[in-house]
Amino acid sequence: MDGGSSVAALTYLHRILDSLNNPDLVRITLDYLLAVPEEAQPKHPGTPKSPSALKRRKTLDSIIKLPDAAAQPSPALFSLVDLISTSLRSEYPQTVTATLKVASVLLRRHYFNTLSTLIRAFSTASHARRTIGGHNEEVDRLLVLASVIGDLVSSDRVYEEYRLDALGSLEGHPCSTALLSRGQLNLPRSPAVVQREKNLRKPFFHSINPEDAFLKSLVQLLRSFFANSVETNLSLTDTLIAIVSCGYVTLEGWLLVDPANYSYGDRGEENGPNKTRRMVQEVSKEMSEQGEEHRVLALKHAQQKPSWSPEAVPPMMSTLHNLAEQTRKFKSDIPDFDAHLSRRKLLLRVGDQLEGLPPLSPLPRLSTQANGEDQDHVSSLQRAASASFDADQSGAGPAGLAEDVLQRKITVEPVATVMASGSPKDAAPKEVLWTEDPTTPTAGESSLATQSPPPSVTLNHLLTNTVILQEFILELAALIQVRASLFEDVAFV
Amino acid sequence: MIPLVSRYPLTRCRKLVVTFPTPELPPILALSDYITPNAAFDTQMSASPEFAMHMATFHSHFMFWQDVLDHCSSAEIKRTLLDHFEILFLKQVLCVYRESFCWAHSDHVQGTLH
Repeated sequence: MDGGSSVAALTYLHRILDSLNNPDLVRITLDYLLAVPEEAQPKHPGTPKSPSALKRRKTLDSIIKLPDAAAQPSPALFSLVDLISTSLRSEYPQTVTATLKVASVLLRRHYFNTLSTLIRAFSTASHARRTIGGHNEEVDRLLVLASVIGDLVSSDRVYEEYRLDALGSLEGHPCSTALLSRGQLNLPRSPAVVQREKNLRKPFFHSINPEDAFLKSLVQLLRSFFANSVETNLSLTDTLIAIVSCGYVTLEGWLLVDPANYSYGDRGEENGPNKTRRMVQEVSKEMSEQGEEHRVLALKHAQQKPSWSPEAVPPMMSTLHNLAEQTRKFKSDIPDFDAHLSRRKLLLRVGDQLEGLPPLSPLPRLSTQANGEDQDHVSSLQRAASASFDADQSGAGPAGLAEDVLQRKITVEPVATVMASGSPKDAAPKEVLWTEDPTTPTAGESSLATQSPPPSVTLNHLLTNTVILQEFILELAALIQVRASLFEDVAFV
Repeated sequence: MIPLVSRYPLTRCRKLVVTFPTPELPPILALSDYITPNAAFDTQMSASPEFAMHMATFHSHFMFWQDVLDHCSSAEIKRTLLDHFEILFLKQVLCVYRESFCWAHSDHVQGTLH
């Protein structure tokens, strides 16, 4: 049982955390709410307490003191972290959404206060970075996932927009200023900025423990992506992007594959290390220095795309993979799924400009416009819609038929968090049950997660969540790509 | 001192359900299974003018506090203001969300009627 009381508290907390700017208020608020240990709080010269200030403090404490000592609130017993971890498991979608919004604002605006409280992180001063080949392989795999979900023909412009957005958000991230200007730019800083930095925790390079409870909660929500409410999914993806946006977090181990698990198996004469060595030997004829030969070999090796076993993929990424595989089932079991998905993408991009247009079956493929103006797309779609409607008119009319199709219920099971060692398809649910009766629980297949019957959603809802998933994967790929160039978090040798 | 506690909307708004103005429902929600929830008698709706007024009042008071701290040149006064903030506000926030946690795990009536 859950109620609006959690939503109320979380909504106000979100507003508080989003509005906090004063360094002293930030410090005492977050240290208190997150129950930061005394020794972990940043040392600041602050304002020494005079005897009169201490006396006033004591008076205030006695005024507010509750009669029942047990009712005295103490963050050590119950902190904001406890509220977040409990609320993420709530069955009430609005509580989950409100919790994710609080977590997202904490991560975006007060990232280093969440380390060692909300997120278990560990220092990675000497952590192995992914090679440039490994980086390219990871990004390529993400783009393949996006293409599995839906057509990417018209997504080039969208992906470029995500790259630009990622660049803007990374450059504007609170942690990025120090990272980008380390010993390189000696820009003067205002006293307010200097004071603010004194009250903040010193940033350090870190990674996240894959067993971290908060991370596991996010993965758990990701598993039921298609059945989640749209608000939950938007907040969930926003929270994940907020974590990835900090330049001090290394992605290997919890999002991307640990480079220790890379393997460079024999892929044949063309791409194997034998060819590399032969090329280097040819080059080394002109280079007599032994060190130069090794360096060239290291450079070539780093550029090679590695492979890895499915077990090496962190749960977050394997869950995304399984979700993409689940869309293959949707396409095979639901007629005209691709056409519905294409139209849904266009509807969401253009928005209410397309309201009133009759549904189409199937949607003609639109070529990418040179200037990429949305208005041109709208006009083209309107022309295509009219032509298709006239050509496909029948006694019942396509509008009523399509609406009926969109409201039909589909059973969606949560995906697994591991990729099967054999085929990735083994990790996806066995069957999509397409039922016309929304009240009948599914028979046969049991839920992967719990004993309760898997949820049913309309095709309408499923299409929107599928679009959100594809856009999130594209956004994630763009962010990882831009990070690599901005923060140089890949190894070239 | 700004009576943040006495005017603190949380003491009067114990339950909240997030809603959107129906004519302005975002397309992404309209194209889903989203259903505008019906609030119980003791639950406020976030799209209601009353809640918007509560939140705006709270936010303005909070921003004023920050502004005062930003421009306060006396270290002792600043220290006193921060103590007031911590004891009279933060600890009350902790009370409220601890209470909401207890409500979430009790057999109390839900915040919305379905």
